[in-house]
Amino acid sequence: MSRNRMKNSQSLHWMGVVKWVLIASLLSMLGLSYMLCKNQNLHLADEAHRLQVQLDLIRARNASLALDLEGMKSPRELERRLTLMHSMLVRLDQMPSSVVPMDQSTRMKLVRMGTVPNHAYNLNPPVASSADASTQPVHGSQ
Amino acid sequence: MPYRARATWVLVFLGLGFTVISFNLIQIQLVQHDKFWQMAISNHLHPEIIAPKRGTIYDSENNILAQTQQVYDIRLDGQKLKQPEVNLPKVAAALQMPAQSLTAVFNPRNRYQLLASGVNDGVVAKLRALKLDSLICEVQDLRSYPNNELAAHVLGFTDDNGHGLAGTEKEMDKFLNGVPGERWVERDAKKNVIFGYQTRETPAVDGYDVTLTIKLAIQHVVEDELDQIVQTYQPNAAYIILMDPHTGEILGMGSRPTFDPNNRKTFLPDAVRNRCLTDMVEPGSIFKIITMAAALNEGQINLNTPVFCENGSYYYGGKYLRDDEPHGWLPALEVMSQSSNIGFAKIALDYLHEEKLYKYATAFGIGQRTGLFEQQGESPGLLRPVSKWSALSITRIPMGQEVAATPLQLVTAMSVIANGGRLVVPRLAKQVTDDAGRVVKVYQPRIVRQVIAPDVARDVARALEQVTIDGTAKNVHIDGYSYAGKTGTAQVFIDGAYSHTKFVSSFIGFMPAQDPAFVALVMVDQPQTTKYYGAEVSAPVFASIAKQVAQIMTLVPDRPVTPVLSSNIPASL
Repeated sequence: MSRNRMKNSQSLHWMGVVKWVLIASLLSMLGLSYMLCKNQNLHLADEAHRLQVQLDLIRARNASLALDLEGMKSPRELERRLTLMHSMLVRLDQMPSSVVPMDQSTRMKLVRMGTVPNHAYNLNPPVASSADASTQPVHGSQ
Repeated sequence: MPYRARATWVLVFLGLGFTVISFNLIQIQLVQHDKFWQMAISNHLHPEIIAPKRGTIYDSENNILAQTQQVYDIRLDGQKLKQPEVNLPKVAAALQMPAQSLTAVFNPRNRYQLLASGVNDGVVAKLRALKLDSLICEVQDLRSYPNNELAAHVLGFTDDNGHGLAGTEKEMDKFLNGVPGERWVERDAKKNVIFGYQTRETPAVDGYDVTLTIKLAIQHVVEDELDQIVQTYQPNAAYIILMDPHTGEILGMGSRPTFDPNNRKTFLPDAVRNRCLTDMVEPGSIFKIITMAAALNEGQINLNTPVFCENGSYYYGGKYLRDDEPHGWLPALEVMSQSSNIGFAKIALDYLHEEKLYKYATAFGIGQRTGLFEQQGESPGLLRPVSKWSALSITRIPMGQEVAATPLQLVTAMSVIANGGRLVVPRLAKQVTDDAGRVVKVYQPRIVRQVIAPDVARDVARALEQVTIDGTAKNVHIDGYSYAGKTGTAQVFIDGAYSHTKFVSSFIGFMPAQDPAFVALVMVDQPQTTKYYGAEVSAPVFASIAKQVAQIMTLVPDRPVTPVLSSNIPASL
């Protein structure tokens, strides 16, 4: 065998090698990216589920709070709390048909009890003689 | 064996082996593909039911009356729990129980021991912070009624599975319930769900919300008054119903005894039923409204027609009929205001007769179910056909004996007078909405029939107003408002005879008299006091309710308001 033929027959076919290496690395990359995507998908699904559970919990808590609020503003509960406050509010069925302006001494009494704010409202009725006060109708109507 | 022969045998066996394998593969992959595919799926995938959330019930002003909330059952896996002497007191503290209470009942063999039920999410968060994998927190749906006993009979209650058993919960169950969803999940070898492989999911459709016609504030007034009736009179039962006569909307409805739907363990069967629908009572003098309306509508009499009331004692059909107070000649208007039994018997005898009285009673809805809560034991009442009437019936039915009606029927009948002679269908449901607030169904007012002419209805209303001015209810005054109504004191029919010691005291009326905003019935079954007349027992309750409802509905006074003198202000102020 001539020297040239020997050289030709035993030489490496670089182009072929490169081709197979490229194919192998491409397949590996595809495989790896498939794995990565799949793992990411699983992680994201877990994360989505965790967030969904949190959202459900928040919703359940909201519903529970809404019920608590409703319970707190139920007429019976409000009446109970008003009784505790000694507010001296009058029940609807016991309310006089006309509005009765509060006199100064009553207002001060309620201010001391903390039921009425200590603001300088002008709640006094128009000045009238003391003799009239007991017989004149208290003005104001609804 | 020579080398070649052995090789041949090996090849033959290999060939056979591969043939069998190939055959099986063909069977699995091609011939029985569907069967094995289903088996593989059922091995990996498991269906899970997604429970829908039951809808909320609101009053007409969007206050929550019933809602479902999530609570937890806390269970313990005794085999998994490590160091119970250390961890159990911690769990007890989180559950707000005495420290040693769990240690005493702890069973290390029980893998599903119930520690607490109905626990809220705040407590569950504390338990989760303990990081004990032996604790099992199971979510449960709990139907809650934030106003407790308020409107209990209207709302009803649900069973353990969240299905309505009574009241609105049962009537509107098809809307409130929702549709369950389904999801298929894949689990790994440790039975953990692989959420990434979740395939099919049909989401649950939550139940619709139902808005009722009742108003929380008015219902509260009703419940308060019922409590006061029970406290004052200790009756067998008490009923109050308020209705808008124009639309048939029930504004408030309640009866005693009652129950707390939040606490099902304390239910008594007698307290659970909605007596406003199920109980038949003889209406007594309340029924005279129907007799008067019938006679006026037939054109046989007017309010001035004189009726001879036989001076308090009338012999007919072999028996005496008596009035509480003797009367001679009275115009029809006063026959009503004085509630003369004899007067009404004679109106029926002379001007109506059996057929017409029966026709009008039926037209007013007596003897027929209103259909408010279908299949929940509503009574049709009792109105016998004319063929079964006795000779006395024509004198007794006009004054409300030998006939029975439910409180709801009576309110509906009274609404005819307050609504220009038209009979409306009573209703509790206003509308149904989905969770986004879109209206799914609206319940419209329904008029059944024109029972009497509008001018006749006005005449009857005038007669009923006269009852409150100088009739049996003249002592009951509502400041600022005119009202019309009729008292009733019915003897209870026991063992074939009318009792002289047991009565049903009632008052039915509407306010204002000219343009009624509401019709109300107050009925007290056998008050246990010396007072038993409708005018003494029920009419004052009606007045108290009317005053409060006028404030709630902001009704404009149609009568002069009595001014408040400063001398009237309580000394305590």
